[in-house]
Amino acid sequence: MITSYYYKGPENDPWEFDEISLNKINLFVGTSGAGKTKYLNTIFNFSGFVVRGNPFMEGSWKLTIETEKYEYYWEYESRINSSGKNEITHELVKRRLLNSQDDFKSLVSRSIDLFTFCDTKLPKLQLDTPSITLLKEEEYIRPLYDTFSLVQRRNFHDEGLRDALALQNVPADLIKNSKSNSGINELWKQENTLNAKIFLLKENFPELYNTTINTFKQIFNLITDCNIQILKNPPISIHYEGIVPVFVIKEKKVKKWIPLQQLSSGMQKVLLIIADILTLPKGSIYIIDEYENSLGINAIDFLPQFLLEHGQDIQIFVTTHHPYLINSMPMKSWRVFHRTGSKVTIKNGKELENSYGKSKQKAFIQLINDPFYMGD
Amino acid sequence: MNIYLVVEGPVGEKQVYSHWVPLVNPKLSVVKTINDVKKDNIIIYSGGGYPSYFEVIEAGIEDVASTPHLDRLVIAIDSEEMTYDDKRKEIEDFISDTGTTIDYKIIIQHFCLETWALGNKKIVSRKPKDKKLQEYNQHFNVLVNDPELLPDYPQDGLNRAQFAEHYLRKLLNEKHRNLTYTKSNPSALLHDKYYDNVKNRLNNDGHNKSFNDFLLAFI
Repeated sequence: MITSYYYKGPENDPWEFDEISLNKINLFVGTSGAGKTKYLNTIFNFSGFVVRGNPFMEGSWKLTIETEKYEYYWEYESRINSSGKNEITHELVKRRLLNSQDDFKSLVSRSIDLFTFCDTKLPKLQLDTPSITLLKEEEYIRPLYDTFSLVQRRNFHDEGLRDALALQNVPADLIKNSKSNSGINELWKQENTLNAKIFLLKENFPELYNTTINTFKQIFNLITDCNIQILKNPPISIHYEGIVPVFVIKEKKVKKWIPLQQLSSGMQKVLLIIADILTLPKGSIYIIDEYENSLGINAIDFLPQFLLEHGQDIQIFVTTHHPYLINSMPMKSWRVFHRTGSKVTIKNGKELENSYGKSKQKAFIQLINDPFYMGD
Repeated sequence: MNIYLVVEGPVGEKQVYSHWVPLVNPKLSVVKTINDVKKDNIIIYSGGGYPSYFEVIEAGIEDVASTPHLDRLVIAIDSEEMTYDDKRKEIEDFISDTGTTIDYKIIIQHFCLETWALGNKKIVSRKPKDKKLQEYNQHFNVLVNDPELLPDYPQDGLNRAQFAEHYLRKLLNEKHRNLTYTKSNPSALLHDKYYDNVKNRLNNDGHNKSFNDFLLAFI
C-alpha cells in the first residue's frame, strides 16, 4: 500500500500535490476542480508506466510504499530533454524492514550519468525506463514492482461501464485454471467482464459468489433470485471451446429473468463494486472515482460498511461529494483537497478532528462550512 | 460575546453575513472553526436550505448549550412563500420543542436575502436599457415600493424569491456590465456602502422591515 505520496508535474503541466500520508481507506473530498481526480490519475498512470510501459511519465514523484515485509521509499524525477528525448534524471530507492526503526538501506541510486544497484555500478540502461521496471526480477525490487501491478481503477463513466458489462467468451482453460489456489488473482489478470467474473465465482468460488449475491440482494430488496445463463446463440464469437455467460436476476412481480445489461446503472455499479472488492488480490490498490453520480441513496449507503468489512486486505481511494459517504466514513480517512492555481494543498482528516472540536454538527455540515474545503 | 450563527443557504449568505455582521457590531470578528472561538467571535454555519437547516439548528442548539463560551445562537432564515409571522412561529416552535433555555435570536429574511439587497436604491437605474429590466420595473418598481411586497412574476414562472434574485441580477448588470449576482457569488453585496444603503432604506422609508431583525441580532 502507498503510505505517502508526493507529485509535481513538469513545467508544461505544473500541478503540485502536497506530500501526504495515506491510509488503507482514503476518502478524497473537495469541491469540483480541487484536483482529486487528477491526483488519482497520477497514481494510476504512473503505475501503468512502471508495469505496462505506458507513456513516459514526466515530473517528480516521492512515494513510500509498504509491502508485506518491507517499507520502500522511492524518489523519481524525469524530463523530456532539449532534444525531445525522454530521460529519467534522478532515482533513489531504499528500503527497511516493516515496522523497524532501522535506517533505510539504499538499493538504487541513479542520475543521468551513474546507475548503481546495491552499491554496484550498472552499465548504461534505458534512460526512459524506471529502475523498478528494469530490475523487477531482482528480489530486492520485486515486492515494490508488484505493488504497482496491483493498482486497479474502476471507471464509472459511460465507456468504462459499458466495457465492464460486455459479453465475454470464457474459454474452457480459464474455467479450469481459475480453480487453482491462485485462481482468484486470475480473475483480475484476465480483465474479465462482470458477466464472466460472476460466472467464474459461481463455478469455482461458491462462497464468494454467495456473498456477492447476498450483498446485492440486501441492497436491492426487489430482487428475488440471481443466476447465470449460458447464451446458446451469443452475438459474439466463441473461441477455445468457450461459453458466453450472462448474469441474470429476477425481481418481485416480474416473470422473466432480467440480464445484467438491462439493470439500472445504479444496480450495475453496485454489483461491479461488490464483485471487485470481494475478488481483488491481497495488496491491491483500488481507485473508485465518481462512483456516486446520479445514484440513489440505497446504492450508496451500503458502501462504508462494506468497505470496512471486506476491504481489509486492500487499499482504497474513493472520491466523493456525497453527504452520506462523508458522514459515515471516519474523519481520519478523509483527505480534503484545496487548490490554488496548480498547487493543491491536502489536509489530513485527523487535523480536522481537532479543529472541528466537539461540535454536534454532522461531519458533512462541518466540512462544507470549512473555508479550506470551500476554497475561500 | 460569542455568537453561533446558522444561515439559510450554502456559500453566498455566509459571505454576506461575514461582511455585514461586523458592520453592525464592529467588536465581532468571524472565525473559521468552532475551536477558534475565543472572545467576541462569530462562527457561521450554512444550514443547507429548507428543510435541512432544522438539523443544523438542532445541532447548533446543542453546541451553544454545551459550550460555555458560546453566548448566543442566531438563526437567519428566508420566509420564502410563508408570511413573516408564520415563518417566525415555525422556528420559534421548533426551538421551544427542544426545551432549550439558551439565548437565541431569529432573523427572518422576508422573504429572502435578495429582497434586502433590492432595497439599495443606488443600484437602480431610472431609465434602464435592458428590456427585461424595463418589464420588471413596470411589474413592480423596487425604487418606490417596499421590496418585501415584491409579487411573483408569473410571465416567466418565477415565484417571488426567484423573481427577487433575477431582478437583483438584472439591476446590478444594468449598472455595471461586469457586475453580477449569484447565490454562490454575492461579491456585489460585500461592500460597506451596500450595507449602508440597505440600512438607509429601512431607516428612511421604513421598507424591508425584516432587516431590523438583522440589526438587533448581533448587539
